Amino acid sequence: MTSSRVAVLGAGGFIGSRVVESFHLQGFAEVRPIVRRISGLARSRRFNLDPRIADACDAQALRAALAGCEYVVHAIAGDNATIVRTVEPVYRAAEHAGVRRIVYVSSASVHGQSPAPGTDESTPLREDQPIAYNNAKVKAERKFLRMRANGRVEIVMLRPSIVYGPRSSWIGGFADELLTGRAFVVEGARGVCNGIYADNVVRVIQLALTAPGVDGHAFLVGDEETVTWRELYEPVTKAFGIGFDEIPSITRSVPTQSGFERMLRFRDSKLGQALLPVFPLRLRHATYTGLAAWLQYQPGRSPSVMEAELTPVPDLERTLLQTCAWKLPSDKAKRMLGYSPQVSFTEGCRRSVEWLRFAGYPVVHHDGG
Amino acid sequence: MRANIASAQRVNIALLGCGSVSSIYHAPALEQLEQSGVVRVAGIFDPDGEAVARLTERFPSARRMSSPDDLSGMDLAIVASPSAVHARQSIDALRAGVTVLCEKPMASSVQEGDAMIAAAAESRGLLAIALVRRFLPATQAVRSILANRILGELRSVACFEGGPFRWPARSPSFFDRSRGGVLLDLGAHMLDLLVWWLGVPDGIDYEDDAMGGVEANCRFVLQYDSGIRVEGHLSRDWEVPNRYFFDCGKGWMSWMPTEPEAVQIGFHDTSFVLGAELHDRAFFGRPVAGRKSINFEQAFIFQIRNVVDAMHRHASLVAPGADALKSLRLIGECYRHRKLMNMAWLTDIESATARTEAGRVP
Repeated sequence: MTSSRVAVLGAGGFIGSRVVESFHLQGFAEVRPIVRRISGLARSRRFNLDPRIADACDAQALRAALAGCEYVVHAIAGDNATIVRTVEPVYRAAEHAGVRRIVYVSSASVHGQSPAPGTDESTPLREDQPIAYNNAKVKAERKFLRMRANGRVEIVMLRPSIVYGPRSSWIGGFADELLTGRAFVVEGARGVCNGIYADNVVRVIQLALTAPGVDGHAFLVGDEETVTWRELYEPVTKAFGIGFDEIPSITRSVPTQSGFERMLRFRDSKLGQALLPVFPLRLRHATYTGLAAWLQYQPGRSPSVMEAELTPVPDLERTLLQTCAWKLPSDKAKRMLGYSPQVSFTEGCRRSVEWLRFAGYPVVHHDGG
Repeated sequence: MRANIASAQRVNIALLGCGSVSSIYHAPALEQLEQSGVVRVAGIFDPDGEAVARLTERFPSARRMSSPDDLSGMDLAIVASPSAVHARQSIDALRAGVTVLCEKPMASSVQEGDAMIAAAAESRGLLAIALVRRFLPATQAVRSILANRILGELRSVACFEGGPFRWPARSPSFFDRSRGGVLLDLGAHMLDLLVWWLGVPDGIDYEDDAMGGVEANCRFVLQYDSGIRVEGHLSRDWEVPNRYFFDCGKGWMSWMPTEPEAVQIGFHDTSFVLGAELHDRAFFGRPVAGRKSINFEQAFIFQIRNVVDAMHRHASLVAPGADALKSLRLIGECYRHRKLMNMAWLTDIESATARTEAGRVP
């Protein structure tokens, strides 16, 4: 593999930057980082690599960027529209460049944030889920498969769920919430966390690039251990000398979808998409902003209530994730890709906390650090 | 030489470099100063003709300069080109008798910085560096509070600054090794402020994460013989707290670079924090707050105005080249003694390669 050239789309992002770092430092392949903007080069340019600038919606720029690459890792993050919109130009450019295979970093969210017991890759996917991100990922996967049906480039889709590790929002974002007093959990964070340490994702990407007989397949991938959200968060709270039980725990709210989320869902629906163009852009923007503010407004708040006493309202995603009851299986990836998690959950948490220290967070305690 | 021009005369300015810092910050400041009759943008140069055209629209009386040393009739050159050519363009301008306001970092190396200072001395010209943060009300307040020991003796400083890199750089060459990484870029501001506030340190320890390229993260410790310890952390990678924290004998002070008009002050014997917004003193010197003090964008107007006033001999330079050279020397020391940061998430194989690659960074 070391003589192969692998393009990493989304090289400035959390997963993409770790893929670049690991592939390059391991000598696994010649890596070509590709980012949308020059500013996205900061992480890749720590190395003496030859990065390219190309917007993944710009087929012409992509063609030039992918020239000479045999494999593509698609790890582009973005809004829901971008997730779907990048599929075709990436596939077409890869085909033009003679790429053998694209490994698409999809998401276990295609099965929802709280999948039903028994869920695996054979479970039918839906495009009418309450969280628009999930639908976008489903659409992207389907679009890749349609492109593959008429194209030459192989496609393998990976579905990691909660990818944690250095630069992960699950770690850094939670740390920020803790340090600014905004952290809370839902129902004690006792739900199953379908976590996968970033290096285990990198490992499965490596395998997916060259494994035979996996073209067109999708794979759920996770850590070996079954853990709760509390177990993921506790090393972070400990690192800052905060007891986990000091964090407010919110009871799951009855309406699982906020008004704002309902509005977004309407916006993304077929009816919404058909109706919206009728209205002028300014009116749409004003309505959107106004509705968002109105739906966030909580009337009847007493001026005597201290700020700290206000109860945080969990959003739908957090509620579903932290009350999840099903550990998604990695059996298919183990069977067909030869996947075996290289980093244990405990070690992944240790490295994550070490990164917090590196990034300048006030780490005061570390198990075995 | 034209540095000592008559006060009533407009200063003719050559803007060298039409990149982001010129279009976002210098051009609006120059527009204001043109309207006030203080300056006239007389010439613009950039190798990119389209970039010149965009700025010439804003300054119709400016001529397109054929080269950066096409300086006839110019009084002041604002050097906002890539840092690799700061020294050459500044030296040429100084030798042509033109005052220079050079963007930070003043140069890519200490040797270049020395040459710039020598050129200014030989030509008896003025060399200012665009260390614009010296013009911010908050940094001036910090300096005054520390100098007057209002919070007692300073014990330590912790500075964290940065975030995911968002500067609208125009070329990937922004990340070339010759242009340094976050230390030479953002660190030029941080180290200049620290030297301005505390003086040149007596010892320095430095590490970064460059592994064959340029650093996205770095950390340094400055030691002063007085016992003051300064820890600095810069990042283009992750949103760090963006805070300068000063621990003093009687209390503490905090400044966030995103808030140029505010500081926070706390006292060790109370649980309250003073969130201070900075205002100008009211007219006639009365001890009451007047209008809100200047913001970051307005600081660019004051920066150019200071150079013009210095040319008129009405003021001394707030950020002279000799001062900037002190922090540039520190940056040079850092790079010379760089160590690889401990990145505990790397595997053993990755760490070994990282060390090898880091050793190749010049």
